[in-house]
Amino acid sequence: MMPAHLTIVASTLTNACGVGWTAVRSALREGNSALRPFDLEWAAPVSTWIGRVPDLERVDMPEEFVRLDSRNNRLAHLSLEQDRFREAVAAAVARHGRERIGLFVGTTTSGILSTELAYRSQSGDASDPGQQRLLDRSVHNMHATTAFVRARLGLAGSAQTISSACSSSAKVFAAAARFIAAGLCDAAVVGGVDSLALSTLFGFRALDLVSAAPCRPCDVDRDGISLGEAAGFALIEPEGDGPVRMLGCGESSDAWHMSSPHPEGAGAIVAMRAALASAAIDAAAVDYVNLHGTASRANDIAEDRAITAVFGTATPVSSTKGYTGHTLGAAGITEALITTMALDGQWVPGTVNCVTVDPALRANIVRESREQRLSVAMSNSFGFGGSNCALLFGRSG
Amino acid sequence: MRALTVRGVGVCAAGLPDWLRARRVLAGAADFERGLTSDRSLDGLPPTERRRINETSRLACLAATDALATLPAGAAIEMPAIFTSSDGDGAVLAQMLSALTRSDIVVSPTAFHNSVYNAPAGYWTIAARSTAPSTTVCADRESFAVALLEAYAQATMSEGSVLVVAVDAPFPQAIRKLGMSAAPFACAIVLDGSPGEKTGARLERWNTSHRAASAKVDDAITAAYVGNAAAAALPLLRALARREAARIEMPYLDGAALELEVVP
Repeated sequence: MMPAHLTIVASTLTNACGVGWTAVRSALREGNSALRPFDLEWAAPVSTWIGRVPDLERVDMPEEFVRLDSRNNRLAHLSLEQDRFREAVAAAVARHGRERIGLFVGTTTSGILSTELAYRSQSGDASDPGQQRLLDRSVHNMHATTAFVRARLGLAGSAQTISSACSSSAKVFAAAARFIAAGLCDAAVVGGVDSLALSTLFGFRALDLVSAAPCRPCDVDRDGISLGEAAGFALIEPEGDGPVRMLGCGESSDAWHMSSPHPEGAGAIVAMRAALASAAIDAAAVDYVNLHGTASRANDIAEDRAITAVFGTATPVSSTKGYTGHTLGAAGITEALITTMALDGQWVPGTVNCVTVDPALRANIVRESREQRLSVAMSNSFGFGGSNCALLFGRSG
Repeated sequence: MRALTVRGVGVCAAGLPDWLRARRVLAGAADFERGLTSDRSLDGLPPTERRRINETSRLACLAATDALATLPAGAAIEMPAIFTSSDGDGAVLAQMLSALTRSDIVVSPTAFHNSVYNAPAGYWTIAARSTAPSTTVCADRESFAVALLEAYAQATMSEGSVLVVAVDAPFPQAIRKLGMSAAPFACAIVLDGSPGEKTGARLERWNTSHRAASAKVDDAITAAYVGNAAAAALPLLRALARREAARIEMPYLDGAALELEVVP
């Protein structure tokens, strides 16, 4: 199923911790949560903390893409400019040809904030033709950010947007691996972009899932998520050069509930075992698991049950949502790349904001960042609608 | 490129309530009556989900059920599913947008979880009791062809069956700029990539480098679903209904077409 050597050749990550790898790495290394009290100028105040990308409002779109300005596309643009990522893709285009590089992008928001603000400016009066023009499907459509990224990178191969809630940009790795294995492309850019929006803020609040404090994954007093925004991209190639390889992936459905995880983590167990099977790797060989770890009461306990069912209670695990917030459609790429960072640097990021580990959780939860030898690591992502994805990465041998 | 075998087809659209009827209409053996709608219910869905389900999810699940009708009972449980929509659910989006304009901002929890793009996949996996992987892909107007290519990748790699479901529906007047469908249309197709001789039409060629011919709308059925990206499946469904060899194309990225050879 998996091509033998699917290497992460280049990557970039932007979120509340900072813009590009250097800022994100040092925040995680130093244990600095980037969550801050809610301060979005365009939204009614909500008693919560958020993971907001600094100065995103001051980013200008490239001149030829000004027409596609949206919070999500700005975030995508800002991210693509970091870590020499565009240069790495340009080099891959020179190697493979622009038609042979696939693009797989996860998002749940696309440009929804533009639509929300346009609609709100109508004050509920849809008959006002002057305001109606502001609704723009070229930034609203779920594929809008993928289309922008594709044009910006000059790619002309296969492309798809995956929108499966909070597993979206984990599943991009699985889709890219399939497309490469099936011969539909020779290399792939995978990524995720999700930006703060009214629907998600007030939607999660309606489900009583938003904490009034900075989110505390795995903590005994955890009481919900902190929403965040993020973008990240990776260039993956068979036989490419890079310190970390993708070893396997597993996907499953809970078939349980639209917005709650299966209480025993049944679907999560299926996904993790499928990832191990796809790589022909034993659970005992996994040195670290980056949890989905949203800090909702239900997620963390269900995921703990799934983890201990698959790995027992010894494997080190941590959640990094306390640094970035829950970045929804970008959570998969964010945490997959944090996992590759851990493998590359031989250290495990801690579960920031977790003060007292919930005694009901039995997994080996790492609270503070620490050095550790790592060969193989997993990243978990679970979404609404019961959409689960587990990714397995390893140090290049 | 390899061939995939068609194991099942389903439809749920205004005027094409199920594949049994659609097959006759598309083969020219029955009249196209736009007013004809499906009265099927989603038997697999628990009462709570049946009460909460949104319209595009309902149409998608009905089309999926229809496509599996001729397969052994329980076939869906192990079958990976690929959902696609160009525009998503306009009615739910309008409800969300309207709630967000209120000063107290009270969003319905059901509206929020129905507004998630993979709501159809969520409802389907619950209805089918399927713990198999599901994905939800989008590529704007080219969503159906992109979903078929995802099916090609999955079915050829697993050498098994996958379910593809496409749905789009008209948007409420207030947000009509964001959705382009003239009428609701959902369809589903089960494709199989296992080797060996099998019964069922084969889909061959899978060429994406073909320049699209200018799309002519010269029949009443295609015209009825104008703007509906899921209805890009109509030429494929027509060839399958007529059980005839055909070379068909669907809109693909950059103005290209996905070209398929249908071998009955």
